[in-house]
Amino acid sequence: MDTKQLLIACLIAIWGLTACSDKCEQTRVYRKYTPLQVKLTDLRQPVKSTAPRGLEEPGKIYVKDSYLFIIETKQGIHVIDNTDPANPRPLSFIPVPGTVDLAVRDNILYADSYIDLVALDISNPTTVREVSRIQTGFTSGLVGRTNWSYNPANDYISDSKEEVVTEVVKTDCESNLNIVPYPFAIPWFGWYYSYAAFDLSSASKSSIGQITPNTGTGGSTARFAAVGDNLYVVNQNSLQLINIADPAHPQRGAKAQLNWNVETIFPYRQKLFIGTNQGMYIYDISQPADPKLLSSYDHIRACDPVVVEGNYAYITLRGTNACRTGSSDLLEIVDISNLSSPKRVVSYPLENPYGLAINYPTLYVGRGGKGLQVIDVTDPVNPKIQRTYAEVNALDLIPLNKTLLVIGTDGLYQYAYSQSASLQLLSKISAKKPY
Amino acid sequence: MKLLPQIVVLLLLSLSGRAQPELSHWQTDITFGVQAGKVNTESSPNSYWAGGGDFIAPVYQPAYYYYYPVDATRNRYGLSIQVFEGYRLNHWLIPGITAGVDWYDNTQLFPVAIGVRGDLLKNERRIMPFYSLESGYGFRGFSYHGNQLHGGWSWSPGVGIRIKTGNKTAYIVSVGYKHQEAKLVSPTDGYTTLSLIETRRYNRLFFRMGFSF
Repeated sequence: MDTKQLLIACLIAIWGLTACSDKCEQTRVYRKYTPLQVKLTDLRQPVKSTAPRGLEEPGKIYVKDSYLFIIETKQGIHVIDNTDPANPRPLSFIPVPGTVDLAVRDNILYADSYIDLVALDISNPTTVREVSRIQTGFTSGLVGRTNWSYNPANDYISDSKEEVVTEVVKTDCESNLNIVPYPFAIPWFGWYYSYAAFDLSSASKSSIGQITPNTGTGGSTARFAAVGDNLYVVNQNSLQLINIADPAHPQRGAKAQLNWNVETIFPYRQKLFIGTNQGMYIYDISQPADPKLLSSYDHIRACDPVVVEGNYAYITLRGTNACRTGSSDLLEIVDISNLSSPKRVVSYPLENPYGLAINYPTLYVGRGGKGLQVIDVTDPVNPKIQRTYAEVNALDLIPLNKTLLVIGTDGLYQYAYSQSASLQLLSKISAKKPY
Repeated sequence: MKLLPQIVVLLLLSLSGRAQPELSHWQTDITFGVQAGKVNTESSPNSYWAGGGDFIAPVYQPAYYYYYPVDATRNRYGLSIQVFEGYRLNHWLIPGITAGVDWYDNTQLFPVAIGVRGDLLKNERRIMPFYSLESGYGFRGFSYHGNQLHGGWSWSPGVGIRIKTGNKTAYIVSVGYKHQEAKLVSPTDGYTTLSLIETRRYNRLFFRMGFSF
């Protein structure tokens, strides 16, 4: 054998060693929940606004005068000067850990911060400062798919951080499913053997530990409502009253227990409409410190924001698995001319509805990734879909005098509506997820 | 319709090559053998549930299980059966199609390929080396995963020898390389697990034996 042949033989051997191995990898996209703990002393560091930053995971929106507040879920609040809706100008960012909701009275902004309610002076929106804080009395909560809870024993708040993670993992090309070592793969003769092996391997895997994913029920819109001297705050099962007669020094008031899983709160003409996943509560708040239950309206189990205009309440029901409930997606219109006995007018199938807004006679329904729908409800018995803006990711909406604010996972849209059915995009603030 | 049976009979005769051996240009190779390779598994996955730690969805299960490669790095062998049907243009160029069945551990594929074979030496002899080259698509076979498994592209070069036993018949021994791709799209709950896609690239050496007529 001469050198040339030896060289070729070596090359073939090297090629054989490297080239003849199976290469398998799995690309997995999943939600990863990383537990995190927030120390109470860290949480209670005085809040100070910082320079504006980009939207990442926008949550609730709130409008006060020409200012626009966008919640950055559990991170803080974006303050935006919206004097010209075609050209919104970010002013500042207020870092408030654990915040999900806010409400404003005069120049005081109230935001939740896990177990606390923080009052912030926003008379100068570029330099917001904390004026006071009280405990809401809520010691646990649900935000999107993650739960948080307060442990008074060690003064920690346990929370978890959700991320969508893409990961590439080398796999073993599914060789681990065979029971016994044998020279050739047994499933030549059918799938039975691999199936049996499958059960074996999964049984041994499942015994290793806690495998329940840390997930919860679905998202919601407003849980804060400022009415006169009172701020109404709901969590899953209670309505907490906070007196804000002295705006800078909120006082905790009465608490009403609610039996259903509360999702949203909508104040309208001295009434509170509370959307829960089994129905709607109507509370009379003509005596603000003492809310009285007028009636409750049952519907199928589903996620349901509610808005009210005139004699009708509009409820969207989303029966997704995020709400772990029914399976129907509906728009319901309820006659509330007699508040003590609401009556369903119509139940209209509508896929994947989230938040909604009414600017009578037009109803706007955000349908998440499926767009924004404009519905004519002049005749409540027979709602008519007028237009769908499929490109908009719409989770929640606020109709102002001339502009419609739409917030979704990809940012904030502002539309002008001269004619009710056609919307004109004025501006968009894009949100960019950090992952 | 008399034509159809005639065509079938003609086709069968031409396949067997016995009716008019001197005129038949068809060549059928039936081989079986093994495709050998190995898998290098990682010693441990990147991360998994560890008492409330990171969560990793499994590779082959829709539910929530740990993933770790159970199987250590080792050699793999899978059975391979193949039929080549070619038309002899001349002794060094026989284009045709191959079909067969391959097993890669728990994955069964039905490869269909367009290929070419031919003699490597000029003069007629009893032991004739030949080459083969083919490329095609492996369709999914029967497996636990059902239609979650997707087949993939493949190509395969090889060489062999043909040992003549008669005018047209011969034994075949061949070796070569085979690259086969496949994809496994596992079901997800759309809630915690959003997408699980495994791409598989099988790189194997094949050893086949069979006969040709």
